[in-house]
Amino acid sequence: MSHLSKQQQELYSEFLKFAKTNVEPYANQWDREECISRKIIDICSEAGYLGGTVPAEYGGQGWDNLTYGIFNEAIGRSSISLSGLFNVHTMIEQTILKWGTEEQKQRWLPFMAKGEILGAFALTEPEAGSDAAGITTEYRLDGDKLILNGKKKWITFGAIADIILVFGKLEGKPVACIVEKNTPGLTVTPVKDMLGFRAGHLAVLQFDNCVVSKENMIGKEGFALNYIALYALEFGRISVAFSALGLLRGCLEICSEHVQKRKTFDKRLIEHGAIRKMIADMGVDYEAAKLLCYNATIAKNNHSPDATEKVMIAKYFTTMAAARHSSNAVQIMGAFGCNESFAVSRYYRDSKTMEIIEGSNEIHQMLLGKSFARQFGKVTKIKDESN
Amino acid sequence: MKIKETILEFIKANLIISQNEEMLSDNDNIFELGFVNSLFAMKLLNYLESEFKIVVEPEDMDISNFSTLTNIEAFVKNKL
Ligand SMILES: Cc1cc2nc3c(=O)[nH]c(=O)nc-3n(C[C@H](O)[C@H](O)[C@H](O)COP(=O)(O)OP(=O)(O)OC[C@H]3O[C@@H](n4cnc5c(N)ncnc54)[C@H](O)[C@@H]3O)c2cc1C
Repeated sequence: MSHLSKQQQELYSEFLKFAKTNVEPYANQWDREECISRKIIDICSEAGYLGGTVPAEYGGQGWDNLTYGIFNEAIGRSSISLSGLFNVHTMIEQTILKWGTEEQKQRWLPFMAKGEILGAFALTEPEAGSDAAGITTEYRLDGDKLILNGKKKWITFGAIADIILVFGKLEGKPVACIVEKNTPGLTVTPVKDMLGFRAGHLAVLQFDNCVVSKENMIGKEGFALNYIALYALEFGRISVAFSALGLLRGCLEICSEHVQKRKTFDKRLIEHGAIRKMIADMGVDYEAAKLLCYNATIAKNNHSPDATEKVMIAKYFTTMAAARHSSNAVQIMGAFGCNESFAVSRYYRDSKTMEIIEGSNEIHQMLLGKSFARQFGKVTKIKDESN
Repeated sequence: MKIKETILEFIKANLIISQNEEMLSDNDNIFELGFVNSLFAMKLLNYLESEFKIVVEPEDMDISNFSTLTNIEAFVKNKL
């Protein structure tokens, strides 16, 4: 039974076709040039994809979370770097939608949905990544303005974004404000030579006495980390989980074709046990990851309290599976897999990176480990008492 | 079940890990007790919205709304 409704199935076919035509033929080139072209961003804007999850009243498509997921799967199959655009752009849209005032929604959402304004998410600093509470970027109140000083690093699409959600502290309390790219005092330096997400327009953002209107603050002081950042990151994790699923599917498709054609020792590769095991494991993990991803977004559609955990489980499992199987994909393809003109070498680099972003997999282990212990520890205790 | 008991059940199931922490009283500050990690903050938000069919709005962002059992109950009642 398919978990997708008829409408979702139709959209999924549309997304796959879109990616095959507009993304896949160019993905290696973008990767080599370390640059997603403006042209593909415009094509995606025209298709309405930059407003996928934005409600129709703000000019978007009103996709549910599962539809957003399968969109990321289709894009991730072809280009992980491009999936990074939808990842961060959607995080900002959803943050404004949930925590912004009506005025803020009207000001940014219709333009973001059309792709006329691109968003980026700036939390990480050179000295603070996993431990986000350690950020030192500072907002200072000056009349009805805020003065922003600090440095953000590794900001996806930061090099070309029009607005950036910048996290910092105001009198010690975490806050998040929208900063426009032409703000005086903001210096944007592209980051090159990444292992993965090479075409993802990463940047270092330096803020020197930037004047930011208080009206650009999203939500209230004190809530920026526990509510705003985490709310946004949940959408980021959906994007990463599903695009890793797409990458896994890509490995499976490319390798399956190769092992049926290529012969060694008078046998097709698929006839060799070691190769067949790698394909079996790849297929099994793809199926398992798909269920976890679907399950997580269905839980999120239903506003289920365990949606946060389910999204984390999906991100954790799928990125780990993608890293493991893209490594096997390189192995199965032999020298072809080691060459930059084949997608699997790019998959191998991108998938490793996906274990680090949107909360590293160790941070997922920390949180999920405790959560499972609590959940299943209770059961054990009840049993003990009944003995 | 009453609102307070329902919320207490949820907090116990999701927040409390060792037996001696189960003595949570109505006015204990769950944030100050150090129980809350980032996962719980998001779960509480999802839980309140889905269980009581309310929407937590930007103006509800006040740490005191979520700090104690009594305050969470008052917040939910106010929203209903
Ligand atoms: C391609 C790419 C794109 C990115 N895009 C963005 C973006 O758009 N916006 C943004 O804000 N940031 C972005 N980042 C930054 C990313 O969020 C951080 O890299 C990530 O949070 C990890 O932080 P860190 O790199 O500082 O590693 P650290 O926090 O220094 O951690 C180093 C290692 O130690 C492990 N570790 C840390 N703490 C623990 C612990 N308690 N127990 C066990 N292990 C631990 C980590 O898992 C990691 O393996 C991006 C990064 C990359 C690579």
